[in-house]
Amino acid sequence: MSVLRKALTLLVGSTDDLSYLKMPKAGNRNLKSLTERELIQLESEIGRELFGPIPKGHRREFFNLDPHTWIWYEEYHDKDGRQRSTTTRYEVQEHGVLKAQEGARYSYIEGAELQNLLLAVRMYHERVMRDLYTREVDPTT
Amino acid sequence: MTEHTYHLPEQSTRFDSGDELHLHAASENLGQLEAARALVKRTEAVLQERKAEAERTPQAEIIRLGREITEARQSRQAA
Repeated sequence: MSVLRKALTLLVGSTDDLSYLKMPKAGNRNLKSLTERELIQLESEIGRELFGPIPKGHRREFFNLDPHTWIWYEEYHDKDGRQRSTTTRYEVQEHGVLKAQEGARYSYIEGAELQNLLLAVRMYHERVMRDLYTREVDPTT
Repeated sequence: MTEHTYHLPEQSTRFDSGDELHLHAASENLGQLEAARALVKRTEAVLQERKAEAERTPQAEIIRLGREITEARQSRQAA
């Protein structure tokens, strides 16, 4: 399964099964029985909150797919009421971070955008490791 | 790096011009050896610095954190 397909499946899921949209909070769940997809969705519940309040009518997801891939998904309605969505994939390579969006737009991010992504990843790591996987996080790293 | 040791001929008690030439050559070789050692040390220091620099890049840190998260997720699944 391609990375993008896997990401979209994680984001949108199957229309036959929408039960995953009604998951209770992490503290009430038996994490041992969760699948990779469910764990990523739980991570995204944390990830989506890292960038401040989500505007009404928006849906946002931000999650780590694998060591080299991060996904940002934003869904909203335009002024005509039509549903829009954007999926941004960050491919982390040794020599830079490639940002890929729909329409085959690719660019390496740099400057403030790269620093903001790094900051978001640090916060995501700290929150996910502490709240979801209950691991100690070294604040110096 | 190989150590080179230079010996004067054991049987010889005389110090003739031939010996002097050998000593001169040995001295030059030792000098080159020391210079090579210093060069290797400097090169190692530069490589270490470059490695540390590469590990400090944002992308290196993002990969490291992403790997830790992925491993935690996998170990949760395996538990």
